Amino acid sequence: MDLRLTLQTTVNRALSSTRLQTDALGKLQEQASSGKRINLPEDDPLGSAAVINARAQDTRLDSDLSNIQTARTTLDVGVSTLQSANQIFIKARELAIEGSSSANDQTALNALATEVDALYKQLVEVANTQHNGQYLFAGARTNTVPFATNAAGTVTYQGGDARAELPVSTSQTVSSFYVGSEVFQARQRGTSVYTGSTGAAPGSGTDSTTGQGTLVIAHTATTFGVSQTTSKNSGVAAGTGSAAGDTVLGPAGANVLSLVDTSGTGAGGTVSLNGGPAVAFTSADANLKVTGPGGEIVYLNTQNIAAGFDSGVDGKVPLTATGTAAASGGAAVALNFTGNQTVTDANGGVTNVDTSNVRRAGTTSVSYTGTYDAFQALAALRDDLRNPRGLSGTDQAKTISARLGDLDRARNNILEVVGEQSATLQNLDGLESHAQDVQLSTKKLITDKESADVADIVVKLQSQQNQFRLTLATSAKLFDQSLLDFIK
Amino acid sequence: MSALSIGLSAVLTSQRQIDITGQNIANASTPGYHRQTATLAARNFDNPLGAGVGITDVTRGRSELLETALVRNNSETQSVTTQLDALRQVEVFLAPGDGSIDGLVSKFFNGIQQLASAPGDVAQRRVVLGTASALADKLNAATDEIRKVGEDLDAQAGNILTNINTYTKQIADLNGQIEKATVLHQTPNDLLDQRDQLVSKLSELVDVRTVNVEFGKINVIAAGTPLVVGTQQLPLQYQVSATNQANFVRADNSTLALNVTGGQAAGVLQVRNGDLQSLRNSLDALSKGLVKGVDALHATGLGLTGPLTSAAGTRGVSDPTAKLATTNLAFPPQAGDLYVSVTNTATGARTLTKVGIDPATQSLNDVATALSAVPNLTASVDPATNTLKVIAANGYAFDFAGRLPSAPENVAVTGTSAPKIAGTYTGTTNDAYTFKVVGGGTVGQTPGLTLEVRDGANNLLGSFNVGQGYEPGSALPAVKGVVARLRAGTANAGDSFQTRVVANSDTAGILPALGLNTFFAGDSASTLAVRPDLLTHPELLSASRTGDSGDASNLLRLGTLRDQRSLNNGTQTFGEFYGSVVSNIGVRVQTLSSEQDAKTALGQNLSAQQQAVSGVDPNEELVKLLQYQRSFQLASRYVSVVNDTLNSLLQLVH
Repeated sequence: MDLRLTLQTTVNRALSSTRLQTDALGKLQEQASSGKRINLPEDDPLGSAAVINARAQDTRLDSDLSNIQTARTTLDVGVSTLQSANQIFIKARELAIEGSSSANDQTALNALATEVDALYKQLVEVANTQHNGQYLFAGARTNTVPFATNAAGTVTYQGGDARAELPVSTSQTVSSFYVGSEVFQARQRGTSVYTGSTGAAPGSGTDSTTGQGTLVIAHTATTFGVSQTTSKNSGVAAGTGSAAGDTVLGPAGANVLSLVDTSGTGAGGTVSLNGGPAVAFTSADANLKVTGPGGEIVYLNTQNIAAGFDSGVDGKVPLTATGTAAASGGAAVALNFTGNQTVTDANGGVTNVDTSNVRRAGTTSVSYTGTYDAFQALAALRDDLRNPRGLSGTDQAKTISARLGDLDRARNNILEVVGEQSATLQNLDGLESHAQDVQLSTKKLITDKESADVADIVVKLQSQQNQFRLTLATSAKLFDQSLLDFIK
Repeated sequence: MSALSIGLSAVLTSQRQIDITGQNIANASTPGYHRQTATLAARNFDNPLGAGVGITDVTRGRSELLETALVRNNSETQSVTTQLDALRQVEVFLAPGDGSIDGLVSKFFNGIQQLASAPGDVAQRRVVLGTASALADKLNAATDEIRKVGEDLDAQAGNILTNINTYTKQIADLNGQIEKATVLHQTPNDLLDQRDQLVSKLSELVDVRTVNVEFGKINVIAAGTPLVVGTQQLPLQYQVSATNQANFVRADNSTLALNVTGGQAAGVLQVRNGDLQSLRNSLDALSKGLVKGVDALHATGLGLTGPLTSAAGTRGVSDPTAKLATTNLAFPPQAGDLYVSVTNTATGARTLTKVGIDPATQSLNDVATALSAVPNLTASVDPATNTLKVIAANGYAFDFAGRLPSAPENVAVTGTSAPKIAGTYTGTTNDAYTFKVVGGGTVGQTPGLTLEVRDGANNLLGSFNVGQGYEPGSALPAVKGVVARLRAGTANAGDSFQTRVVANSDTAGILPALGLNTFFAGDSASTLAVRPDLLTHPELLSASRTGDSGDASNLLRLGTLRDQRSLNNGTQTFGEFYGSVVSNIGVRVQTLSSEQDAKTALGQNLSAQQQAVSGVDPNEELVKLLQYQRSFQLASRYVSVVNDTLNSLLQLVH
């Protein structure tokens, strides 16, 4: 079709093409000045959505990295704190060895005890270390002082039972605040160790008391049976001091008296306990002390001895000596001389005692093996150095040496936690570099999607400019032409 | 003697043609002007030789087909342009960037994640709350912006309406004038041009079709309804329905919404009723998803200060006596249970009570009654706002964290060993665990004494030695976080005790529904806000499920929301959802923009064609002018020759 080209068409064309060119120039200018390819969603709808997701990913990695940093600082402080705890135990070990070698010099030992006491206080400080106002070893209960010393001087844990977990990636958390009782109060209970000569031994049950305790075995009453061979009544009875002074204990027949009436009338003779040294008696004795070979003591009344009684003929006289056992201030329990008797202390802790071989009253010190926490281990060492029980030099050296095991166990446990924290730190390094890698590629993605390619824009801008000039020049030329130029 | 009159007719015709050319040149740039051409015809007044020349008609260079196409294109272009203008305003507001909605959503979750590294840090709590406030403000502002754009569109629609009614009135008037002229056999080209121009203008406002009727009149049909019938105008009205749908209706029949398909009117309606509505719905969906997810978890967590002594709901119902299912709650509850823990603040003893919730049978008042039945708890309905208020008795505090009760339940123990329960349940379902002694004896002594743990379905979860080798009172291995202890003493075969374990303490969703202990107040993009007392007391922010300062368990749960596909029927995360909203509007603008380009190009093409038919080419007119000048000169010379001839004749007479 042969189109007539009119003035308005020419004008419209010139106008619209200049408008298009300026529009394109404007877009390029916006891209060049903002440095962004996408300024509005319409510039690249799908790209915008991708940028939104990528940017969300990017900021999330920011917070991951910040949390990794926080976790690392917390764990770094944790590791260095535990290392100072480790130093405390190394020092304590040296002091213990020194103490065991100079056991006879109590003044020197007291000085060592003072040093250990300082270490003990230092350890409590260390265990209560704060980082940014949060207790490092209080588990999730970071606002609570984890280790409090009560009136009795023992340290109890009052922090949380769960570790505080900190998110370091979408799916991973790391423990940053550890449970103090796991670090300083872990235990591996072994068979309890009894000292003393009462004959009490660990029972078959499992104890629940920790650290160190005492078991008081007391005598209640002694009664005498008929002779073992002829069932003759010897006439011997408990002395007036028997209830208070007897230390002999045992079921019927566990202890025996050998009694010989040398006078034949019951007026006098000899008596011995469990084959111990023979003691002479007369019918006037109301409170005769007889000591057995193990040091067990019985008080006798020999005023009514059967005439002519002779253990060589009639057999020995069996004793029944009842008693009680009580643990660390707890209620006394009547001894039943069985393989496992449960004694409860004042705090409700149970001690299972094999009482079948208890033959003497006395105080037994019970060491609950493997239950000394870090604080108890130091406190026990301090007390052993001070020697309040008045042990002999060799015995004291032995007990002090025995503390080494507890010190080492507490230290090893702390080192285990250090190991765990170090492993976490290492893991964090990996996580961090992974997060940084991902962030780098995310940032690259954002830049690729969003940022303008400057070189590209400059070239486009140049070509657009040329186009624009061409349009203007063409319009100018067109308007230049008119028939009027040619007719006169 | 017709020679003179023939000459005269030629002179007059040439003069008239020169006039017409002058008119064409003068109007070369007049919009809507149609090039006029005289139609010449030889005159023949019963004279077989002819009687000169005459102008029978002055016609406009006009193509009906092109004019119609242009009008339609005009409508379509204007519709697209109007939509573009409105959507670009919204687009700028929603564009992703640092302070945009998506940026704030991810900043909010980042804040939560960073708070998890120091849950007790009040400053960091303030950061989270501040970001949440900024997000709420941004969503409020976005809906406000959408509302404003809507209002602007309403105003624009008002102008469009005024113009439509003005134009149609003018067209009706012109129809009358044209009719009069046509009846008198005149060709009122200027009036026709004016009317064409008005139709063209009308087409920018609404989709227009014209029908030629008698006496040069046209009927104008727009949006499927006649606007001009002959000389009569039928005005339109603009109205907004109760459901916020705007429509054009006829002034005389306001019930029928017109189906506007073109022009600015169509653009306004499309954006106002379509795009803005769907954007508002999207922002509401985003807000609701966020609020529902965050609130449900926040309500069942614990702040730094532990259990609460009182809590006031922030979401009320329309009628406290109506069944909850029939009320207007934004987050409707479902049939399920609410577990309430009540703690004795002096002893720390904690009970766990299950409260059954059924929205089909319970009203808000019934829920208050059910909660009041929990020992040491009183719930009431605030009559002013119809919200629920829960208060603990003096010396007690409550929470909805569903922690284990402090003492074992249903204890059926004949031995002397006392059981204890502790820990934090890590399972995912609500259940009740039963602990049962197998074989009798003494705890810590009797070989083979065992404690079995079974779940509600009687599955064996664990079997632990509590006889010889077990330290009485020490923690048994945890069963999904639940730790049992047996004190020293005897345990008889069959001795048992239970504990309920709660993973979801609000299966009914009643807490977010009523806004109890929630993070947000409000329930839509326009009303969203952070619960005011949280802002003043950041320690109330539920970071944990135990109340411990270093416990971030609830924050970890909140953090998982970020990746949860909770929107768009469970297919999109918050980020993806917002991305799709933005990309949708981007696609819309982009499509409209290229549509506008195409329509404009088409319009230019059509306009060039129309100009080819109707436009004035000055050069052409100049050539014609020369031609008419020559005709005039020839005719003048002819008259002069005829005159000379007559002169000669007259001289003969003298």
